Amino acid sequence: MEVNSIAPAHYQKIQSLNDNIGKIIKGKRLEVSFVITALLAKGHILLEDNPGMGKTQMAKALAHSIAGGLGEANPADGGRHVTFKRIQFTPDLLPMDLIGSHIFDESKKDFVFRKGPLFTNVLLADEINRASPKVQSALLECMAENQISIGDHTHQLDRFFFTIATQNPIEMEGTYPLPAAQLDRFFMKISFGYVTEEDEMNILENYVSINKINETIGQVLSYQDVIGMQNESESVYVHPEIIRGVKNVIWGTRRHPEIQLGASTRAGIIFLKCLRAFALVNQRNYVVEDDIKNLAHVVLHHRLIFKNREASRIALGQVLEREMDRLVKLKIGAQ
Amino acid sequence: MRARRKITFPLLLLHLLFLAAPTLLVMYVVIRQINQSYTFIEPGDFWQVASFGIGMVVAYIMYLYRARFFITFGVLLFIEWTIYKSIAFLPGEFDVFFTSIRFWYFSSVFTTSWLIGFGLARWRYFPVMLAALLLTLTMALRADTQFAHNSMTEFMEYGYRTLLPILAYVLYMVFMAESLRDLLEVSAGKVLRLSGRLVLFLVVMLSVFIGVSEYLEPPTKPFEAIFGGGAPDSSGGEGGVDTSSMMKKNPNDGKHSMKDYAQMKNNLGSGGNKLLFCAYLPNFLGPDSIPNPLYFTSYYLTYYDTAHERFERDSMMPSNDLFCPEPVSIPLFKTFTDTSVIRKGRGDKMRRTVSCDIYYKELSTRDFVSPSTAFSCQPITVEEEFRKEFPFAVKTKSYISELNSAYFVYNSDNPSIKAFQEIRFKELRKVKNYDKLDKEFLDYYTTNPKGPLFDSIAALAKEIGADAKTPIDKVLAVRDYFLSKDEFGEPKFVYSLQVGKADDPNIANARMLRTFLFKERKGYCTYYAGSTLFMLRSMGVPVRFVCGFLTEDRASKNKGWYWFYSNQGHAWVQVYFPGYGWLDFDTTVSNTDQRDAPRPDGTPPLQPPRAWLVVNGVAAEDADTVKKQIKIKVTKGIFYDKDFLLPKEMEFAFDAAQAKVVDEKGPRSLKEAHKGDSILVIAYDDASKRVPRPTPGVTPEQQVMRADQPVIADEIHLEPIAELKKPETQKKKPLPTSFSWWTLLWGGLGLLAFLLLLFFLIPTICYLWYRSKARNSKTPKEKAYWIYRYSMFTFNQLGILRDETETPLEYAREKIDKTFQCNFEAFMRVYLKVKYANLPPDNYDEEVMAVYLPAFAKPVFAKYKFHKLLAKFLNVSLTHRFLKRPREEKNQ
Repeated sequence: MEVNSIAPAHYQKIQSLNDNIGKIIKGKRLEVSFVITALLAKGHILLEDNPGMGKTQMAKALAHSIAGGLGEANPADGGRHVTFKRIQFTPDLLPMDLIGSHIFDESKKDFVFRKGPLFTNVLLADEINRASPKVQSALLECMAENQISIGDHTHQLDRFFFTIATQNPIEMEGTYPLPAAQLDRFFMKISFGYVTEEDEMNILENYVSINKINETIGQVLSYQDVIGMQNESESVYVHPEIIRGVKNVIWGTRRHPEIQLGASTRAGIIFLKCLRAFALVNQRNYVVEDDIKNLAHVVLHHRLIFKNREASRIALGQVLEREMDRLVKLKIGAQ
Repeated sequence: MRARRKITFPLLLLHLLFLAAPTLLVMYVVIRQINQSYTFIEPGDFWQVASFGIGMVVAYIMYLYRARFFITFGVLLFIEWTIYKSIAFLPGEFDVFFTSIRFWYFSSVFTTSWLIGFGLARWRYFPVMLAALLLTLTMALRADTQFAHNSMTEFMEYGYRTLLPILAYVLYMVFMAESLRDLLEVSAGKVLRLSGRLVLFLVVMLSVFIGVSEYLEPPTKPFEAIFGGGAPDSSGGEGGVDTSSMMKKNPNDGKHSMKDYAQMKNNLGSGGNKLLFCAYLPNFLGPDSIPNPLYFTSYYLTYYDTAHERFERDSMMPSNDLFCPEPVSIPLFKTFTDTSVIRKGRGDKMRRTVSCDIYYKELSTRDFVSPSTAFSCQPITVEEEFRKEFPFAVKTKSYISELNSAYFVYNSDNPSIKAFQEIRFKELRKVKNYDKLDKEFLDYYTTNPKGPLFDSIAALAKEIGADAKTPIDKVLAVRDYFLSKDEFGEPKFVYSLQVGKADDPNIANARMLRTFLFKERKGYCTYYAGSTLFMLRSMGVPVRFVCGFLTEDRASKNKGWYWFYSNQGHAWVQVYFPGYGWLDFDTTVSNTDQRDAPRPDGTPPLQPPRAWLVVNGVAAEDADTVKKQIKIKVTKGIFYDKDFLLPKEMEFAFDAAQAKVVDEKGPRSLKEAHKGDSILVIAYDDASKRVPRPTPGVTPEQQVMRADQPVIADEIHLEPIAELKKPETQKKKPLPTSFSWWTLLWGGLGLLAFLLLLFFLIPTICYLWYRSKARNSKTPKEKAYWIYRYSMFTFNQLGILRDETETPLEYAREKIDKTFQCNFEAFMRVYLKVKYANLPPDNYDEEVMAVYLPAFAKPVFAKYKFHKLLAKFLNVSLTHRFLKRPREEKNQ
């Protein structure tokens, strides 16, 4: 369907990645595509959800679908796949538990660096809001810089480093809610929510096979493919009016009387990155107005501070609605 | 301007209350002012303001709800044009010309108000523009009358009366509009706050006004003294008659107009002898009696403007019986009539219809003069040898009292004239009082301004008219007072042009009237007429001021012919007698110095014979120069002053042997008439010819068709004069006879039905338009866009509405394809690609469109039963929803 600079095979692969994960995470196609979007935009994602909604399964399924990377070849797994690590955040977790530490090597009579769980491709940071701010900021620094500094050493993380952080919205006691500055680093915040009754039935019927991820899903794309697609997503065409649309939405949040803190410029840049990646996920090499509508909430909502609960429900929608109306009624040629 | 968010109903009310209502108020004042400055064919400012208000409010609401301007305005213009054009086709008999002019006037008021409503609704700073417009307008209005005197006083007064209110209006509008802009929801508190602001604003403006007037008052007086506007008493009670403001050179043809009168008086030496026009007025009292010259009326001044201390024309005077057409704009031989003035003239005792021929020389052909109550005007041809001297002539018809005559009016001691007058006064003494007259009428014509001067005039009148019981005696008492002699046998009052300031002798203003009545007792006609008017009004006699021409019967050999020179411009009064109507009275004393200066009576133009047939048609073939014949295809013309319209085009043969062939420039020969030329032929009713006579019971059409051919033509006009061409369309109907309300009702209903039909056809028209656009677009880009619009319009019209929160793609997926299976989503993808991608649509995309378009409508319409489909396609509100203007996202 498309004539473009992007290898047609990649569309195929994205499609099959989506399908693959869909075998595990049923009835959440859009959310899954958000996760893939964040991955292709070289970003990270925050899942806010109740326990037991499939967050871990999501991360695992993603990791298992991609071959290569840092992982060890494991015949039982159907070959080598990218590494996946999970850290359960607790209040007493220390930064060195995350990034690793220097330990004394008897043989060399020297301290050597022992890499922590952060050195991986797909990281699931569970209940990130339970850890102390110290740990949170250590993680966030890694996410932003893609590197770890310990003493005078700088350790580079893998090019393919994707964090899925989760937080639990129900129990807020004894937690350290992420400050706005840190939330800003997450490209998206999504929540899975409950599946439909039909899908629920489906999951309950097939939970045995779903749980055996290794057997259920194959590796549909390689480590190199992901790096390639991440680069390709930057070449997706964005029409000037769409860029104007993004600008208008950003400014709209700043002007809205019910929004205390509007979106930052970085938010705008991230929004554009996500739009490009999302277009790719949707088999397109150009961005359309629907993408803005689909992504605006997940990309922008967690960056804004609203004056009250009511506003947090509707304000962004109002900003968006006005802009969508403009874009939809835009005439071709009025470019 | 406020198209950014939803306008709720309470918010709309606020807008109307705080923005539209004040504007309407301002416009009401403006319309009134305009009405006072200009005489419109349509009197009654109530209807004007009503039409203005409706237009403005409707437009304001429509555009507030984001209706499309170009579409709606186009529709409005189209409707107005349709009505205007269809007036001529309405059934029944009524005055087409008059009605269409009236409609034209109202529709322009309506359109203007529509534009203002649009501006208010959409443009943020429109009130500023509106105010600038108003200022220019008032400036233009006043430039005529005010700044002519170059007085500082008037300039300051102008600022105070016009500039300040308009500035206040702008301030208010901008202030209030901005307040309303920020108002998201209506609550009692906010309304209260707005009202509070309004009150505060009014208080501030009021104090500014009072302050300015307090400040202005003292310096004003010295200015007045310097510039001679002298008001001896500060109460504002000053009287005067200013005819000069109404009189000026007609800019259109450089000829003299009645408005020139002041200047004429000014330079009697040179301009005084200019022949303005001559008139033939047959004696209507019978062949043997005394000749009956009549004063010729131009217009009436009825309303006294205390602010400017002068009389003004007032289009709103009760029973406006002024017949004031522009003669030159009426086609040749066309009779322009308004018989309503007879009814409004309010008197038919001893009245009869008199016809009069007026030959224009120096008088502007845009000015109409005629004795007494004229009601008909018909331009006629002038015999060729006189055309140079009198380029234009009209035949008028007037409704004239037998009592009226210049002899009835002349102020002379001549016993025969006195005897003549006594007979008539006797008749008028039958009118004892005005008890039965309706109050509004009486009040209007008897109201005097307040002030010491008028009190003293009233006192004088009381003294003079102490013995007079009947109205006519009161009039005579005033006349006799002016004619009376003092103890030395010298006349108390004399006629003089040498009064007033040398630089401006024409304004009989307050001080001058006072000087005239109580000191100098010298003056010319406006002084006499003005004083008479105030005196009679103080005695409760309805009276009005008339400007026109004095008729002098010089007993020349040409009986019935009267000559009017420029210094015959005159002013006198008309007094109302119930049953008899308005009668002329002249109280000016005779001018002993001037009047006897001999002036030549010219040679009267030969009266052209009456035209029995005037046709305007196209030459069927080249003129036959041998037989001296020409054949003309005719459908309409005039038969003895009556318009006729033949059922089908008919060929007339004209014998051109004796005819004069002319065109605009001069004489031509017959061979210059070629096939297809537009030709006007006139045939005169001549005793030597056998011509059909108008017979009762036979229509002009029948008589014309029966006429013997070839018809002997007397004049052949090639290439009809521009004036003839223009009003061609207005010739269609037999002109005003009776006006029937039923006709109007049926015509109106028919028109309304037509407009309604048109209105309900809008969706279908839009549908067809979109479809043709979609089918006929050339480039794939355009095609994609128009197919998109076409589909969206169709679905919208079917009632499947796209939520404003829904993108078209979602709409296609969720609502359309689930119902219709017409692959709308696939098309939408192509459309979005065309819209947003940087690549041209490929073959696949074009194929999608090619498949989609033909297969689109059928499955969609198949889902509906016919009557449902019809109902949906009659729903104009859905069309409006689709076409309305997108909300603007303006960065502040």
